[in-house]
Amino acid sequence: MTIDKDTVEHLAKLSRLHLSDNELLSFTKSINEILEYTKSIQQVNTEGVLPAIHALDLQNVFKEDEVINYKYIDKLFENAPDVENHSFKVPRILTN
Amino acid sequence: MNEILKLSATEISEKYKIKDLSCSEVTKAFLDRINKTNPELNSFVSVSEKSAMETAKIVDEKIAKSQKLNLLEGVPIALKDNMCTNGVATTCCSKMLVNFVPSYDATVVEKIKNNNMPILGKTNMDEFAMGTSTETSFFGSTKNPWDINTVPGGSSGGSAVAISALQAPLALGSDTGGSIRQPASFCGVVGMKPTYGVVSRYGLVAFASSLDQIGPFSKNIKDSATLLSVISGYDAKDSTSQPNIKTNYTELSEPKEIKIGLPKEFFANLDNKTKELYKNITTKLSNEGIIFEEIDMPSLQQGVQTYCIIAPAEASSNLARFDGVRYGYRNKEAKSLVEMMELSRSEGFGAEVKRKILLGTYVLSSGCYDIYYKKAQQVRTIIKNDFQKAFSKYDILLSPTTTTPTFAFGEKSNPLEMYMNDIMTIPANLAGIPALSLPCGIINNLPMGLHLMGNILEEQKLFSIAKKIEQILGFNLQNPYWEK
Repeated sequence: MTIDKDTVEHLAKLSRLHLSDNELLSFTKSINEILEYTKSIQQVNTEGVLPAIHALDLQNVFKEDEVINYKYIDKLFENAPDVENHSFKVPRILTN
Repeated sequence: MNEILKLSATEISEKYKIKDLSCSEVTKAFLDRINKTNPELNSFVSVSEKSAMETAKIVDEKIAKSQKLNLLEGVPIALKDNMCTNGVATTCCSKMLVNFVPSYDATVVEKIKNNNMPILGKTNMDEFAMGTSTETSFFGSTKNPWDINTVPGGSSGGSAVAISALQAPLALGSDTGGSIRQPASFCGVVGMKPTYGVVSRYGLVAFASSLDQIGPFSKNIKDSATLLSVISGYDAKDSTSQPNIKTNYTELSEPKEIKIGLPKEFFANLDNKTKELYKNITTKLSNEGIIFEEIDMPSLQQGVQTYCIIAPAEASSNLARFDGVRYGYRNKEAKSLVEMMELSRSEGFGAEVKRKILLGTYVLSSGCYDIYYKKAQQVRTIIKNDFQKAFSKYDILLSPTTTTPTFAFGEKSNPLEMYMNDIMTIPANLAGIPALSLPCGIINNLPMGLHLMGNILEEQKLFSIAKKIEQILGFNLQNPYWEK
């Protein structure tokens, strides 16, 4: 299976990336090479084999739904590119 | 050359106990070494001279009062720049996070600080830990002290070089497919990846969450085991953290009978020089009574392929958080929210990160999920089962850490060629088992590593056997850079 430029462009849109023409070409080529390389796993007989979600068998971890107040909210906002009154400020969401 | 720099971490600890050295003296020696060598090596992306010396002062007061010191208290350490440090930039060596200053400490950093280990600075790495040469860092590549025209490996290249060039006695790295062990091998030092869940990932910037694990870099096995004792343990803040585990590995007893499996698949495609080196090593170890047997583990041949699907899938999901809203790089010209996110991500991420996001998005998309992602996870189960079978017969498994020594800058430009650097190390991440690289020999004047893999949660056994092998092989860590 190979993927074409249009598919990579669509993937870029889904993952909120804007690719230059050069990037589009080079990613299409390298992603195809990688997918081609992974083809050998299709030959492995996995009938009846459960997929491993994790390396170890993990169990659900439950904890009380407690409110823990965070003291350094101002510090968190210091990392934000744009802030107004303890809110993250972004460009318009609805456009014409 | 200041002789302090050559001391191991545990030797430094001993000298504090008998008041033979002060922590300020030791910390200053390593800071001086960093200041002198970093302009050329570029292994540190930031140095925390002031806070390191403040910590040293606290330790010296304890030493003066003859108070009992914690494990490795006062021994300086370097941290890979993907571990959150309160008030200090944590960049993942990406343009995306150049100005990111966390307001909290990663759990490992908290443990380091609780033990008063002076933090020397943050080390260089491949962008978001995606790479095997430290060439994709936004801050430029790091040089290997064994030959400054070659790469140190990656992604934790800066931490490996910090040990190898005597800039720090200890360092932390993170390992998703070999990012501790492969640079350790390329730089002639010890690098260890613990069992998944032994060290908390809280505050480690995520790459592929089911594979990522933090671990120690050091000059020798004893230091590695001691540092793991400091950083390991259950953490409620990491839901994949292992409960009820033993976290003290400082007593390494002499193992009695050692039986080691040699997976044939890992020795199949080596060139003659490499084959000869490892043949000589196993012969030498056999003469000391260690039993070796070759085993078939055919699923290991699917390690890189499986990783090539699982790691990008998890990365594409993890890196969705970088949207220019709450932290990280933002394009200021964008007119709409979506345009802002697209441009911020496109300008903030480098090529390898974008490739992983695109590939991960593809293998998780409907129609591809079953063929790629689910299939890869099933193969992962088979790899895990093969390891379990092997460990029912053998104490540990042994292979080279890499198929060749390090390579020149720019030599490997094809992504697949880069991924192949992790061919020996990836299966341990997929299976969650502990593994380490121990320097074992020289090819073309460059170091090679011995890759030892243990069963889940059997760090103690792995370290004990590794220590014995280390004694038998007696590798000399000294490289040409020590004279500078």
